[in-house]
Amino acid sequence: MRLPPSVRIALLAAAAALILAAAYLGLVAVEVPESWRDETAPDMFRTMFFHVASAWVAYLAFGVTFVGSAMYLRSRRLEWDALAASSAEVGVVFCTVAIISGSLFAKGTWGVYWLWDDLKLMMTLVLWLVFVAYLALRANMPGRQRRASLSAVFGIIGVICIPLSFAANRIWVTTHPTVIASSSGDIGPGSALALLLSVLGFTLLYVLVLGMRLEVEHLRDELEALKSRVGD
Amino acid sequence: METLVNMYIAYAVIWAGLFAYLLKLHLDARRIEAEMRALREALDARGK
Repeated sequence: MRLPPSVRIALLAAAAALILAAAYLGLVAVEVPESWRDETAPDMFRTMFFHVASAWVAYLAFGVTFVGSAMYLRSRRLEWDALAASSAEVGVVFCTVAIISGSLFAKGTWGVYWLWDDLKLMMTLVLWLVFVAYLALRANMPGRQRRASLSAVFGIIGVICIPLSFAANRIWVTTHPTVIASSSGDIGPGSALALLLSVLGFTLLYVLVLGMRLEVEHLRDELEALKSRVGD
Repeated sequence: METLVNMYIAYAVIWAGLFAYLLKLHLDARRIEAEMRALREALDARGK
């Protein structure tokens, strides 16, 4: 699969427009909600528009890895494996962004970059580690089909961490705030709109990056096939 | 104020990282395409 240049430009433009609109609303126009004004650094609330969107994309990307892995095991078609692997890599990138932006929030709000006894943070770290291990496994395993089969099993098992990471602050007592507590949230309509625009923008960015990563994966496969022909 | 400035700086760095990743993907694709062109030429030269 190759995204035509016009589609890439359209995706990039739409993602940039949405993210810039969210950034203007979230960083400049929106007031810090009442419930956040007693925090040490209330303005750190604005991290949310970036942090939540990147965490959402990480969950989405790892979910796509799960679907790709399951479909590969069912059909044994390498296209599904390419989708799973590409989405896992993009997911790790966005999960890294979520962890870094979360750490910045933690430093501003709690005074430390990381809380080792917070289950939300730890489950997200485990999720990130599982998919980093997935990529390391793929990078060091010879044999295209064997690599695809083993990483598909790994990708399916790894998905268990997504609901655990997402729901940790809802199931257990954690320091991590639950921003979206109800259908409308307690953040106000302006912040909710900024968050929605941000999530949409990041989702489009994910589609663009996934398309580019898939292209690289397919080109690598073609190159391997060509190399084996030259070697014959 | 200092917290906000630090946050903006950190986010600028994160965005730079994201765009560097996009650039890496683009350059990887172009490098592999160039390698494939060279291999196809080698195959053509050998009459395969």
